[in-house]
Amino acid sequence: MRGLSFYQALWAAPIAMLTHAVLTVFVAASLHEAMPVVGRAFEARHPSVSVRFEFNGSQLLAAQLREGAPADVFASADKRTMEAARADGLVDAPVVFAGNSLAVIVNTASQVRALSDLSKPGLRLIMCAEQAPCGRYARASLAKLNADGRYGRHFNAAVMRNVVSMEENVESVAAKVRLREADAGFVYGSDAVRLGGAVRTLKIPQVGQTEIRYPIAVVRSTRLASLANSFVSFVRSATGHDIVRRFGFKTGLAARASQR
Amino acid sequence: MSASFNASVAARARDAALGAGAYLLAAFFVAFIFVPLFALVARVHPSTLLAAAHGTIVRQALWLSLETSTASLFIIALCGTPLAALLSQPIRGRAVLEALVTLPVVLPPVVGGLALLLAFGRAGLLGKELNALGIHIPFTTAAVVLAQTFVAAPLYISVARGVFARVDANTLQAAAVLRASTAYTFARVIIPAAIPALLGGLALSWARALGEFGATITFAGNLPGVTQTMPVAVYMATQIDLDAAIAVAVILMLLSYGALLLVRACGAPSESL
Repeated sequence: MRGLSFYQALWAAPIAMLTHAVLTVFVAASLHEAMPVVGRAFEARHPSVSVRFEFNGSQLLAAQLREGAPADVFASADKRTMEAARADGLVDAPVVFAGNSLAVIVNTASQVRALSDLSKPGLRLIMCAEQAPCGRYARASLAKLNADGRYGRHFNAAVMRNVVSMEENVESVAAKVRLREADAGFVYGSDAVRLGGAVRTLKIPQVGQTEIRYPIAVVRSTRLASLANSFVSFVRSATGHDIVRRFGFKTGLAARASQR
Repeated sequence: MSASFNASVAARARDAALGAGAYLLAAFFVAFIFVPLFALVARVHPSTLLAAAHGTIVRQALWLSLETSTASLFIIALCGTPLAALLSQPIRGRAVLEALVTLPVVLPPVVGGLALLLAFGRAGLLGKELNALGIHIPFTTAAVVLAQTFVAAPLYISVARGVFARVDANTLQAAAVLRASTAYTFARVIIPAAIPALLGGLALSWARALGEFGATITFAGNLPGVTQTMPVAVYMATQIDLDAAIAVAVILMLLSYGALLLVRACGAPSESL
């Protein structure tokens, strides 16, 4: 009510109640700390709007959209899931707003010191299931490292033999490494940043990195199309980028990647 | 049991109690249960069902589910029966103990799984001791069994406790008059009389173990052939191919239904469930 006169305040409250809108945004699990901050910044600029987030594996959120779940905006952790949703006519044209890298986190008590250690027999490694974007990225990365040959010809197979669980999303991979149940797990670079000192991070060399992009799109069935569009614009604005960068995401790739 | 006993009196009393409205409510509720289950079956094309039945998921996950739920059932019967007998006695602190044993039913299964992880995990409460013995539980098939047991046991225990508490006082007195020992009475008098009802309780626990998901995926994880039970496999499959996942779920459902019917046929009286 700052800067409002008494009379303005009198009619502002009921009007705000009448015009109050709730924007529902489906977001990939890996963004679950960054997005609420973006949402609060958006709400600060749109006092009559509250943003509600639902976080889960991108593929699950897409499946929910397919079954008619009410959402206004969808942000996926990969292009593939988004393109499938686009092909099914669920979303408008997507744009990339952030990027990420792949990293390995190691529990603080583990003997694992370097990436090459991951192939040592008897380790307990975890990664996402193939259904989740993080699982596909991890497998692609291992295939690339194997092809590169610097860790030996059987690196991929030896690492996969150490995998004791294929988790449904990246959050539970991180949780089980933090709980020290797993020696190491494949997560996003942003997770490594977020977890800070709770785990050790092994950087995956460039040759083992795959392109990780986060597209965002307005959901076709939304009844708040203009608001959803301004949320998407806000996420891609300098303010939005500043926020997600603080959480370890990459930005500035949007212009190039959104061409496709 | 007493069903044939003055059946006409019972029938008249029931007719009075159950008016048309009661029948309607009951019918609504049956429909409420039946319609969603039927929706699953109706969505699946027979060819998808057939393909799913021959698929790896069913072969691997169904077998694992049957193995683990049977193992859980064994543990539940072995440890749950004496516990239920104890709880049916007027011992001190019974209410506290009973509530404690029932808690896993109330807890969200994911929390149950987390609790198991924090107790038996490598960094858990008993982690050091288990490590010293060379025992590692999380991410193993044993973890699946423990998760199922944790979540499903209270159902059997609660049924069995009720059954033991209802054992006819006259029967017990007769046993006492014949100077039967407590153990003999329990094994030869109480248990045989209670068997049909206990089977019903076991069926209930088994069904719960077979459908266990949250505690399993949290404590045991998801690895095909090792910890990926049917419910976990169905859940993972929903994320790529919903129809294939539904087909697998329908197979699980039909099998469970068949097993529950079988238990009924074995003589569990209806009031046991």
